[in-house]
Amino acid sequence: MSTATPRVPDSRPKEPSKSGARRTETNKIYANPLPLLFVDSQAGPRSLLGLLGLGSSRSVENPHCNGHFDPTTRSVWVIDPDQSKILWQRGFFGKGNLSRSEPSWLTRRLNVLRSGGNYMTPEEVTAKRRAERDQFKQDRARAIAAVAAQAEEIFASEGRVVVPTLSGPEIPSAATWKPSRQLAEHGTSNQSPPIPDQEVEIEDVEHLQLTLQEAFFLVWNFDCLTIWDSDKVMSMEQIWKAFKSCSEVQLIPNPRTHLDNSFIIHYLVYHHYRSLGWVVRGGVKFCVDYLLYKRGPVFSHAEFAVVVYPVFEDSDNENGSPADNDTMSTWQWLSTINRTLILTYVTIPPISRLPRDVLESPVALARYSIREVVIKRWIPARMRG
Amino acid sequence: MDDELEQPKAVEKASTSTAQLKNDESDDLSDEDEEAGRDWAKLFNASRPVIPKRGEKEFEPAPGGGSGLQLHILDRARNAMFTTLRADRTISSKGISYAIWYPALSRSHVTLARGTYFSSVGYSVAREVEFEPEDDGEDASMYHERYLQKRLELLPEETIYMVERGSLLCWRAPQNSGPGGLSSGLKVAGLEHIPGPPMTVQQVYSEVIGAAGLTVEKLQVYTYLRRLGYVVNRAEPPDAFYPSAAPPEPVPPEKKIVRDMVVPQLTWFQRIWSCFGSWPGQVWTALFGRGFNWWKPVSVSRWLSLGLNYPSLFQSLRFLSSTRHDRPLQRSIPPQSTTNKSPEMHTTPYHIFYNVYKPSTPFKKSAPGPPDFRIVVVNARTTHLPTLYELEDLFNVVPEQTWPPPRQRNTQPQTSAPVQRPQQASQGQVPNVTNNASNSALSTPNQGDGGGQQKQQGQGPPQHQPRKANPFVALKTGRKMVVIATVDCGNISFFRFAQGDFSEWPMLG
Repeated sequence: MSTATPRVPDSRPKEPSKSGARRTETNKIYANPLPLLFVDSQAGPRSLLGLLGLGSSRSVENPHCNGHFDPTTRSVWVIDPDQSKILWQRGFFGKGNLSRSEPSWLTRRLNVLRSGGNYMTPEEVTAKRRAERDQFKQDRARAIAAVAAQAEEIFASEGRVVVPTLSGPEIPSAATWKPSRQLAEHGTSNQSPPIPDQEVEIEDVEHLQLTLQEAFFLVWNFDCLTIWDSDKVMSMEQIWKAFKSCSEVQLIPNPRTHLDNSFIIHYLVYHHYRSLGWVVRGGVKFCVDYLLYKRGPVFSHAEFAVVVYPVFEDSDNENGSPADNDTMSTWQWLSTINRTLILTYVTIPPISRLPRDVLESPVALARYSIREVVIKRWIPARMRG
Repeated sequence: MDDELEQPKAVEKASTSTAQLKNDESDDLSDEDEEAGRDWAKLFNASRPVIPKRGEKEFEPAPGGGSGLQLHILDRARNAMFTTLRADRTISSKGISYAIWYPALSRSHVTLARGTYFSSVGYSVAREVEFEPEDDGEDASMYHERYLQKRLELLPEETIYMVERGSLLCWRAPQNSGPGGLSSGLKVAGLEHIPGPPMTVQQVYSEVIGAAGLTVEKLQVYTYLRRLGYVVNRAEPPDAFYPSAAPPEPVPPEKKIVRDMVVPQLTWFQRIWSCFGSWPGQVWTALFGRGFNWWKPVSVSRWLSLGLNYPSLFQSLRFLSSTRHDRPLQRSIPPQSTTNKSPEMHTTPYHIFYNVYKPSTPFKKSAPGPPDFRIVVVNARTTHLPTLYELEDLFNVVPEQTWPPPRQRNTQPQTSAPVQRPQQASQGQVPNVTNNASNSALSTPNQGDGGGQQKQQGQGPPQHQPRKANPFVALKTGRKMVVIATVDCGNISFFRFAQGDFSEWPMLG
């Protein structure tokens, strides 16, 4: 696992360079850390009441989004593109089901049809970078082989030993290599001729997927999402129950003992870091549970990777628990850490001390506690100073 | 080979053998080409054997076998390596120390200490020894009496380390002999009563490992850190004479990693504002603490206008119990009575074994200061990751961290350019604040720092720069830290486990 560089390059401008204007624009687009907006009302000068904090010169704008609960994918789908955009830009919630993070399928599709659009999506930027890197490696291998062949020839004809090098003026390095024009053209050229803008009309088949934790965070705390189950609006009680039960492992007979329900455990951790102002995103591609961004993936790389560990305070409750997985707890796995890893331990209270119906409402969340352990490599050769 | 090296006569032999070696080299080299620049063959000219540096990795074999160039280069390099290994390793007889290993005591008694190593290795123990007169009188037994004598002793790992690096000749005390009394031997300083040659390195390994809690893993960690220049001591004194590390100094408040340290630098306005930030939440819990609606934990409509910003919204989200390292971890069942775990789980392998001092830390052997690092050594193949309980137990015996020393680049402007640029610094903050879309004072460390800088400029040249409260450094450092060294069949990986403190350092609010 490398917790190194999950990052989505900004998708807006075409220029890959980080210009000041671009950064300003990114700052403007992603200015709000939560979907709720605070709007200053034009109520004139502040009254004495306002100074005392009783009047309201500001009001809250709540974007009421709609989502559809989908138990099979354990997610909530936001179909409306505008609402998807709000949830993505204000707090980086969700992920396009056909995209890496921000829903960009439509843009990519249009780019293909028009053979190059106004800006490149993150996926396209990555694809281009990878193609270039591939080309560089091929060029380098070719140059190295040429140098080796030359040395072989000298040895065969003159008997002189020239040790073939792997670097040198003839061999391109990452610093000196430039993508050739041919590649650049190849990257953008397409089979079909470009279609004028007016003729392009494609239905956006993509939706934003919210994880259960993200959806519950939005509904429970801010009420800015309405969740539908087929054609009925789900109540808070129904949401709590449904999210819990679809995260359950069906093997265990007594659901009351499901104190290590993965929805509850993960929601606690999600809420914990969100409430501290972190942007929390899934980290499955780095083999961790969550990634923490200071402001969001468009601004910087993830600062921390989080692994969630449920811990039973009463070890008798642990019997047969699916949380009791040892696959991760070997040193071999930990030896692959690149940067900083957070083990977030969620302590599960003993069943004996809990009321019978504790899992029936979110009040259960208050019973757990969270402890963090920060793991980093310690390199003695660098710590001597 | 070892036997020869252990004996002092190897030193004499060395001069001839290296001369011989040089002749051999030139013979060997004569048929090889001299022009290869970076080649290991060059190493032959060194008077002392040097471990060759590896070259770059070669690529695919040439099609059809090629001209044999690759094979030639490989053979040449391999021969150079073997020749280097074949050379005698020698030490000066003037720098060598002598010791006797007492299996019954699990210590070796240094009879002749030479060199600077003993400023950080070994400790003095008062042992009851039998007194024997120097020159044999007519009746030696008349003078026999027992008394306490202070003498220098080495721990097992120190013995192996010193023997292996060629600084110590170690004899083994006969099985039946007590701590002091020995009979008949050779006339070397302090070794009059020991028979036979010193132990070989191999013998020392087999004798000493296993004594006084020393495992192979612990030895490997010890020697690795020693070779890097660290001073390594036992954390748990193995006997009453062993100097134990000084208790940690109380952390001075300015070095403590707490977020509060920036608060005094806030302006009065910011301070009042920051009080208001958490005010609605406090009032709310005070008034409706019992009737907290768990179906609707955050209530937008009840916010007062001063709280209508993102920082206070984030603060009101923190209603769940979060990180509480100060609260003891509840164990409903003591670990001994757990039934479903195997018995070896009860005795945790996670104990701090070594105290480590940086090479730069002044070290006094008789009174070691608080260590720079505390190290737990485990076998990676047989040990699982520590449980939360084991980690908590470790953190309970470790003091709180101080700030890591500032980086060079941070201290640079302090000396070279005493005049700070607060304008730029505060401009740097501006996008941050506007992005958060809140004009309220964030009581984040950044802001506090900016405020401090401005204040300083008003006072003139700054005398004491407040330490940069970088939340990421604090988060990564943690409150308490312990290093766990895992040894996987000889490969050592070190991990630092720190008690996280994310609640203390929110990104917003």
